[in-house]
Amino acid sequence: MHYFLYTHYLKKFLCTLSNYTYYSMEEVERVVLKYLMERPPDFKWVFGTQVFDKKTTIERFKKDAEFRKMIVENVIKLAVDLFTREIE
Amino acid sequence: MLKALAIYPVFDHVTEYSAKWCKKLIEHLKSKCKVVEVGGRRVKREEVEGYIKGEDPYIVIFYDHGREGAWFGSEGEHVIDLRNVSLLSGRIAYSMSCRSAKILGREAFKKKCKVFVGYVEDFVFNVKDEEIFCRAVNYGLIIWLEGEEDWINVKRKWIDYWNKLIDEADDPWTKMWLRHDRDSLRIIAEGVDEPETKCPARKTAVKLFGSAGWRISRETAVSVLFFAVGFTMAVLDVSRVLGEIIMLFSYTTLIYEYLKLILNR
Repeated sequence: MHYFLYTHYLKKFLCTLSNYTYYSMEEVERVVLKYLMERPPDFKWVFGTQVFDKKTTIERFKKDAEFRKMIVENVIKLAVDLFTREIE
Repeated sequence: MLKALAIYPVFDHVTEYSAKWCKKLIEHLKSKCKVVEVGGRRVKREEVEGYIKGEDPYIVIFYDHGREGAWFGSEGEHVIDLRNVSLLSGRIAYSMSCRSAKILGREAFKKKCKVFVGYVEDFVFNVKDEEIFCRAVNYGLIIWLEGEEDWINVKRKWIDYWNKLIDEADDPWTKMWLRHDRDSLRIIAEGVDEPETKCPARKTAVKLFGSAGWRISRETAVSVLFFAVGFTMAVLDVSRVLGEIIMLFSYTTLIYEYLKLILNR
């Protein structure tokens, strides 16, 4: 019985967490996409050996989940970094 | 006077930027040391090997593409990789290439490279603000040349400089990738970003002998262990003949390892 309750609440907690994470990510994704849309046509950036322009960045961001995840992770890491350095 | 070898191959759009940044670094270096330049075109492995052996530079600067275990001179050619990494021994290797601090840097450090500066992730930059990224990547060597000899302090000051650039940048895209590059920067040197290991024997060797512990090969460690076992067996008279055979075998292996080390030099 205890085990059942434990797993039940754990699952519930994880679901809440994943929902929360999902909605937060969606929010960040929307902001990033808005930022990319507003870039000038000559927007260009280099990732290792690859060169991205505005069009390819938006396309990859919309279609490639891995790429989107990587960008969102970096946005969050920057936010955490700025926040951490501010309170130090 | 200090001597530096600056390698900046050009073979695609990205390398045009890295070459430009390297030239800016060279401008700074010229007042402090003699700089030999190889770049602005595809660079061959033999050329780099020849320059390192012939000019014997204390600083080897490499601004171009890289990966975990190599620096690229052109699309398909490594100018430095795990086969010739011993060329960096006794020198400072300063690079902005992607991921090369992961494996190449660690191996260079094991082969007595004094300092290996590199990145463990892909290097990323915003073209609009490439000037800011240029300042960020060049800063480490500049402060070292200005007299900050302790690489622990170089790293501290350098990180502060990255943070300053992050705060000053207007574009969030630039801020984001500056943070990314800052966190993937590694200075592999004694007391700074020394490589990590999961091997308990290696950990013990590093604790006992410091950075020299990285240079003890597995074969040498096993030979020493077997020699000790053989010696104990012979002294305690467990099995004198077997003990002596083990000692002889491990001693031969040790001599072989020593000769290999000398020949590699």
